[in-house]
Amino acid sequence: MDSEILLRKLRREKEARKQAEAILEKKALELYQANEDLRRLNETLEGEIELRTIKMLSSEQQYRDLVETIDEVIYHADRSGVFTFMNHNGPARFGYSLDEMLGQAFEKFVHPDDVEKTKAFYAKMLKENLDQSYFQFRIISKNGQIRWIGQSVKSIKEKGEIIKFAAVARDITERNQLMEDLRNAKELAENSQLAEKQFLASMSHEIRTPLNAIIGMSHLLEDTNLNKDQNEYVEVLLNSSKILHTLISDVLDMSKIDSGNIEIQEKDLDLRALLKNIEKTFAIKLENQTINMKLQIDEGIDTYLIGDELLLNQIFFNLLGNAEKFTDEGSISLRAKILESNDEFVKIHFEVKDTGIGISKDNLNNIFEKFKQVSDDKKYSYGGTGLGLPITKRIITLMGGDLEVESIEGLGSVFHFEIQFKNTGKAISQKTNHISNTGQFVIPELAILVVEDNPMNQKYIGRLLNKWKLPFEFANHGKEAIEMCQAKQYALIFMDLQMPILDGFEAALALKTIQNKNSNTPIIALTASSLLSIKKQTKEIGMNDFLSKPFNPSQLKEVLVKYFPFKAQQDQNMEEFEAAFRFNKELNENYLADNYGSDLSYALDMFQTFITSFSNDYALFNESIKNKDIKSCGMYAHKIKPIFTMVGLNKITAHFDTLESLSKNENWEGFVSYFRKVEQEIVNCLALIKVETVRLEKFISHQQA
Amino acid sequence: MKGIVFTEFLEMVEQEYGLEIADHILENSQLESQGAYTAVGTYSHDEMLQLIGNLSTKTATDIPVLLKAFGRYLFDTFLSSYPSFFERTNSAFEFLESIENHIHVEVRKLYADAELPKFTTQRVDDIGFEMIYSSERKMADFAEGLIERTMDHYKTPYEMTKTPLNEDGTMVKFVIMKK
Repeated sequence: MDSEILLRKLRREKEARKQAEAILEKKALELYQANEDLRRLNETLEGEIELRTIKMLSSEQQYRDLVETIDEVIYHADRSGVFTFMNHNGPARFGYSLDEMLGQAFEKFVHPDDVEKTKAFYAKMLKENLDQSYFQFRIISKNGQIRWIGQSVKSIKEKGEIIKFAAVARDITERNQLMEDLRNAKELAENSQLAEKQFLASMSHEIRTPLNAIIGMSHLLEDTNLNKDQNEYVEVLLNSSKILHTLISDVLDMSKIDSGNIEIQEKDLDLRALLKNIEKTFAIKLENQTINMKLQIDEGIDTYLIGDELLLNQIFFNLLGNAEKFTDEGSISLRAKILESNDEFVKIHFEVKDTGIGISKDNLNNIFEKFKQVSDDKKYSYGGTGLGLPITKRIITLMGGDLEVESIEGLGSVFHFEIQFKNTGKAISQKTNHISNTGQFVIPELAILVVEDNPMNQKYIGRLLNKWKLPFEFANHGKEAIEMCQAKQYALIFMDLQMPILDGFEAALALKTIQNKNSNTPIIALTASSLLSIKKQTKEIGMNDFLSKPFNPSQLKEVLVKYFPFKAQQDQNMEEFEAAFRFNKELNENYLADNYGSDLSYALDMFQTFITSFSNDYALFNESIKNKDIKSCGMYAHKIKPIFTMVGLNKITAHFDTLESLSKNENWEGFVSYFRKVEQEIVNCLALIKVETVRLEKFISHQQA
Repeated sequence: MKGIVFTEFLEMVEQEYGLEIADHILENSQLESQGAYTAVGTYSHDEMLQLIGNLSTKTATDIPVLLKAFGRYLFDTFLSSYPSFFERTNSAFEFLESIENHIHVEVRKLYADAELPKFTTQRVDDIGFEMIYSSERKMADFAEGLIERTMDHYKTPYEMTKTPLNEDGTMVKFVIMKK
């Protein structure tokens, strides 16, 4: 029985063992499987890690390569300015190794004078929590060289706070040097340009003075008894000096344009009359040639435009002169055609056409360049400076146009351009400002005050104002003027600038500032000085206009018509006067005609006044010379200077102008020697005026009889 | 049910009643496993019920008494086979708490399919302890034996009340008071 139980137990135990082994095997298999899975997972993960590491390394290497290629210092610095990263290339530029710089504070390398500045820069970034900033400073390279550095610094932030700086620093020493050099070069260039301008300005004066003497003397020489050969020589002398004169004028114009010193006057312009006058002038010039002068003016040009008469004249004289120079026969035509016209502006197309030799294609490109002429070998046969066309082109450009040329060699040339003028809307026939035109001012209620110390000038202005029936009063100096202005209101004040007791500047300033009845009355400055600075000064202290002495009646009238209404009348016949009385050739006929017109008694009056006025002042002038009082000499020279112009002796005015400058420079020796040279001439002139005065007297009494 | 319960049960029967009785209950049961048990295997709960039933009949001992005795027996087996269970506990209550919180957790790591009873514990003051047994196996008596042996092991004098919380005996509350 027992053995059976044991056998059964044994069987059960065996069975249980098999079960256990099966379970074990199953579990072992599961374990193996799990291990396998784990291993594969591990491998996958490891692979991934490796891959990522490779990627990371290669991208870091890429950055590293990049950073090392750059020729600049790239670095990280912590908040205290200690370098924590840097490319190799950077420090090497300055002779340092990477090890020498990493872990070091920047101050160690910065120029001692810039350390504070550099610290302040970082401090500011930290304090204001800036994202980025730029800064220039100097460092000292290992071999002791000072180098300029420009660096862009970017803040690296964590949770809004700067934890370190990343920077790119560049050596800008060469760049700074280059900029410095450029600045110097620019300054040098500007200085030499200025010097050139000054040279031209002074040269023009220095050259023109003797040249005028050459021309003048040649004319005198022409009038003496000369044989045929001598006459020929004088002619050559005259021609050459005239060419030289033109050349100098052209060079001067060019330099004025180049230096921007040309000012375009904006005045009422009768374009129709201007073109007709030009046509007339050229028609006369072309009289003896087989060339026709034609003028076509658009009928639509019938109002006053705003423009610069002088510069327009220069443009057309140059273009027509040019046409004439290169045309042997055929015609020269000038045409003005309206392109657009309205109340505000008129756009006109101008054309100067000739049937001359034309311009070859090669030359068309450079005819507007300075000193370029048709071709070098033709230069001598046609003459000229080569500046005419460039000047013309530039003037037109200044007026807003563009001079263009078309030409066929052998057939002729066409120069054309467009200019847009402002339109005044005033019809041409309604207004006239021609000097020979007379008319009447509407007589004002208030008088004009003329502040002038010179009796000759007083007389001159007074005479003209009387003639135009404009009421006026005189003040002899600034103080008197102020007193009169406090007592009475005037329509207009003429104010001489240089006067005894109180000069014109101070008087005008007083009238503008102190209590008086004329603080709003327009003031016109009168001065013998033509300096622009003086003109500017008068504007600054509030004077309204400026009239240079000597002035002719039409210049005075031009000023007056701005303030008083003027009614024009028909022209008077001026020819009559010229035919009737001829002044001595020594006197400036044109000037006298301009000033006195047909009013011979007026001329006589002025001549007589001249004699008294001059005799007095000249005596005082001589007295000053005796006393060697150079200041006083200058004062009298200034006083005498303008009155010679009044009698047509502009050349003596020029002498006194020179004497005034010499006295101003306190050049006593120069002053005396110049005076001795011209003394006789002055005395002769006085005699001449006396003779002319007598002639005038006789003529007038004869006429009246 | 885990094989260890069967192997330890039969071990106890052999020790207490001898080989013949053990053989007898095995031979008189309809066992799918043919009575061959290994501790690492898993067997039907029904087999355990047959074995206990047969033992009860053969020894004329009530099943609850047998189950309680088995509980006490199994505690000792655990004590010698799994000393790690006891390393971190210093008192009877701590050990009882660790059954649910530690031992069953470890068992499930090894045998994901193990069907374990649930012990909910709660301390009352310093001396009282409440433990609710819940299991479809209805072996609260077995648990009682385990608890008694635990208290003895930690030499803790106690009084215990046992209250069924429902009629089928799947939930039973033990209240243990230290003396």
